[in-house]
Amino acid sequence: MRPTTTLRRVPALLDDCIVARPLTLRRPGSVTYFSTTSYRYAPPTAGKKKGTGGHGEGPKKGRQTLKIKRDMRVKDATIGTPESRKAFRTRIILENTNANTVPGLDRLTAETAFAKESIGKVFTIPGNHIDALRLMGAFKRTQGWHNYKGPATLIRQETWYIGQRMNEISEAGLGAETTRKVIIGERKSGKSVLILQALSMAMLREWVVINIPECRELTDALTSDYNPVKGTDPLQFYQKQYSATLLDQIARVNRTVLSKIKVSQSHTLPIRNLGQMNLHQLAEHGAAELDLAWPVFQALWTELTAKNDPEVVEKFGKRPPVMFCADNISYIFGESKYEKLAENDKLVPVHTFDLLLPKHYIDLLTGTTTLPNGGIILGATSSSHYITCPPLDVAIEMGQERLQYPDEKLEVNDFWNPLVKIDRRVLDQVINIDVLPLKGISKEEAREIIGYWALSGLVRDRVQDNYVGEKWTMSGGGVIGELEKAVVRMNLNGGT
Amino acid sequence: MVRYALVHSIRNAASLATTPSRSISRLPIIRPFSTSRILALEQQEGKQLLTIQPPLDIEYEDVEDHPKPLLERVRIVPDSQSYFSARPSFTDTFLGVEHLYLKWKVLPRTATPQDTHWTSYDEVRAMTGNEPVPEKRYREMIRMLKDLDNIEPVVMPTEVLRLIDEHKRAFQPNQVKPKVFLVDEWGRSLGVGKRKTSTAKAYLVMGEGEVLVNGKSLTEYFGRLHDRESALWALKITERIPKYNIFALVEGGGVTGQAEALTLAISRALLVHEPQLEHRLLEAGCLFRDPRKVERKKPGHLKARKMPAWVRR
Repeated sequence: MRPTTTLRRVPALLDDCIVARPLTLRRPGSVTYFSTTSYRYAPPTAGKKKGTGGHGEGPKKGRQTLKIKRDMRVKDATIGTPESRKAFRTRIILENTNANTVPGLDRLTAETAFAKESIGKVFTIPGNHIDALRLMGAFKRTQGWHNYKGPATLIRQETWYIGQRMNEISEAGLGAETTRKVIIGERKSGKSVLILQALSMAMLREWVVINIPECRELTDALTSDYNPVKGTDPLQFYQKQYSATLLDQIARVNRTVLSKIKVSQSHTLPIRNLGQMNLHQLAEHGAAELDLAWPVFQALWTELTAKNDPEVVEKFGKRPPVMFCADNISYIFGESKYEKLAENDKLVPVHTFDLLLPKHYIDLLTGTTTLPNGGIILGATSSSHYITCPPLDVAIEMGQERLQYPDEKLEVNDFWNPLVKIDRRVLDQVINIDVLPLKGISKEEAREIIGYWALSGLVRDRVQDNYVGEKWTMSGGGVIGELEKAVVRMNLNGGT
Repeated sequence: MVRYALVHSIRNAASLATTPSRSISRLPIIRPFSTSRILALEQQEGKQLLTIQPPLDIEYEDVEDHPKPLLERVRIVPDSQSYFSARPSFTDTFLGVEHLYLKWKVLPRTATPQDTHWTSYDEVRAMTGNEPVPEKRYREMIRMLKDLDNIEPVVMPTEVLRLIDEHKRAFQPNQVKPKVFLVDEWGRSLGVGKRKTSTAKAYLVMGEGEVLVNGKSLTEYFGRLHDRESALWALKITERIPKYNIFALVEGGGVTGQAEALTLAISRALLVHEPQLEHRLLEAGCLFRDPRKVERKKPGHLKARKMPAWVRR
C-alpha cells in the first residue's frame, strides 16, 4: 500500500479499532469495603502537578527568588455592632411560615394537659403562654422551634407525672406538699423542654411561675453584679441586676395572678403606700429600682409564702402555689467566679451558697425552706454546657439508687470517690435531693411526634413501623432531641 | 543382628496390604537398585540372601565348623548407603522415604492432590545436624512424600502415615478454619470485627431494637449520628434494626474505628441468625475487613511520605 493510500485509510482503521464497551459501575469480582470516607468517589488523581512556587518546591527556572502566593481570599465583612450580632445569633424564632399547618392539632388546656389520655399526643402551646415563656427564657435556641408553624409539644409520661403532682397540690389547698425534683438525663433528652411544659401547665393552673433559664448567668461574674450584705458572716452577697430582671420577669408573667393578691404584712421598704399595693405593683417597684430589687424580692417571697389562713385569704387574696424552676443547676453548687478579699488579704472565690439569690433557690430545692401553700421546685441539669460538680453527682447517683431501691438505707461513702475533692458544704445540703430521670420516649410516643413532623412537611420518608423503629434505635432508644436530629434535621439544609 | 534384603520385606508387605490380592499378584516385584555384590547375586539367582550390617552385630554361630573364619569368607557390606556418605543422617532419611515410596507405589492415589505443607529445606538441614544436603535431593524427597501423601486414605498404610507426620510441618495453614459461630442457648449470636486499631464484639438477640455499647446507650457512646449509622449499617440496609437487640463491647482506636469495627461485628453476628442475608451484606461491603491502617513513618521523611521542605543550602 502506498503511504498516501494508508494515510487516507487512517480514519477507517481507527473506526475498526474503537469497540463500544458496556459501561459498568463495578467490575465483577471486585471487593467492596464498608467505608464512610469519600475517597472512592473522588475524581482520579491527575498525577503530580508541576510546582507553582509553594512550600517544598524550588523556584521556577530562570527565576532568582522563591515567591509564595498570598491567600487573596476576602474575609467576610462583619456587619453591625457586636451586641446586634449577638442578638441576631441568639435570637429565638418560634415560627416558620413555610411549614405546613398540622391539621387537628389541639391546644394545651387545663383539661387536656392533665388527662392521662394525652400521654403521647402533641399539643400546641397556647398563644398567651408563648410570650410569657419567651420572657422567662424557657425556649432555648437549639430546641428547633424555628422549623414548625408554631410551638407544639409532646406530652410524655414525665410531663403527665408533673401534671399529677400539680393536681394533687392544687386540690390539697392548705398544707399542700411541695414537690422537689432534679431532672436528669442524657444530652438532648428533653430536660429543658420538660421545664417549659411544667411552666406552661402551672400557668394553666394559675400558679405563680418563676424561672431561672440559665444558672451560669448567676455565677460566672459576667452578666451580673454582686454586693455584700453588711454584718454577715461568712459574707453574703446579693445581685441587684439579676434580682431586678427576675422581678421584672415575675411581674410581667404573673400579672393576673399577682394583681389579685394584696400586701398583707409590713415590710421595711422605702416605698410609699406599700400597704395598699398588690403584689404585681410591688414586683414592678423592685424591677424599676436596682437598689430595692433584692429587698423587694424577699418581701414578695414572704407575701407569697404567707399561710392561706381563711381570714387572710378573705382580706388579701389567696396565695397560689409556686412553680420555681432553674436550668443548668450544676453552676450554683460550688465556687462562683466572683471573688472576695479573705482575711489573709488574698482574693478567694465566693461560694455560690453565699450568693443570696442562688441560695434562696437551693434552699427551696433541697427542702431547707418550705412552701406553706405548696408548689413545685424543679431543677434541670445540663449535659452539654456544664461544670462538673462532684457533690451534686454523688447526690444524683444516690437519688437514682433511692428510686430503684426505695427501702434500702444508703451510705454516702458508697457513692463517694475518695480521690475526688468534694465540697462538704454542698454535699450536706444536696444529699437528699429527689431525681426525675428522663430517658427516651416510647415507640408509640415516637410515632406520634414523627407523625407531627411529617405533617409539618419535614419528613421525606413514609412514617411506618420499621421507619419509626429504626429512628428510635438510632436515637439511643427514643432520646427526643436525637430523634429530631435523625428525622428532621438531617433533611434540612446544613442539618440544623 | 542379620537382616534380610529389602526384597523380602516388600514381598511380604505387598501381600499384607489391604488392596485386593489379585491386582497385587500381577504386579512385578520391585527391587531396590543396588551395586553391592550380594544383592546383585540375589538378583541373578532369585534367592534370598543376607545383607550384613556394619561389623558390630554379626552372629558367629558357625565359625567353629568351617575351616576359614567367617570374616575371610564374607565381604562385609553396610546395610545402608549412608555408611559411605558424608551426610549419613540425611541419606538414611532419604532412603527411608524412598523405600516406602517404592514399596507403596502400587497403591491408588487420590484424584485431587493434598495440600500439605512440608518441612523446609533449612529445617531438614537443621534436623540432620547441618549436613551438606543437596537441594535437589531435598526436592526429590519432598516429591516422593507428596506422592505418598496422595495415597487413598482408605488404603493408607500406617507406616506411611507415620512418615508423613515426621516430615509435615507442625502448623498447616490450610487446616485453619474460621471459627463457626452459632446461636447459643440464650438465643445470642456473636460476631467479631476489626477496623484500624479497634476491635468489636457484638452479641445479637431477637428483640426490640435496643442497643448497648460498653454499657452505654448508642447516643451516649457515639455522639455523631454518622457513627451510629455506621455501626448499625448492616441492620439498616437489611431493615432489621427494630428486630434485634445488640450488646456490644468495643475497645481500642477512635470513635470512627470503633463504629466501623462494630459494622463488621454486627453483620457477622447477623449472618449467624440469617445466613440468607449474605449476598446483601456482601454487596453493601459489610463483610470485609477494611485492611487500611496508618502508614508507618519512614526515616528521612517527616511523616509517612512527607519530605522536609526544600532549602537553598
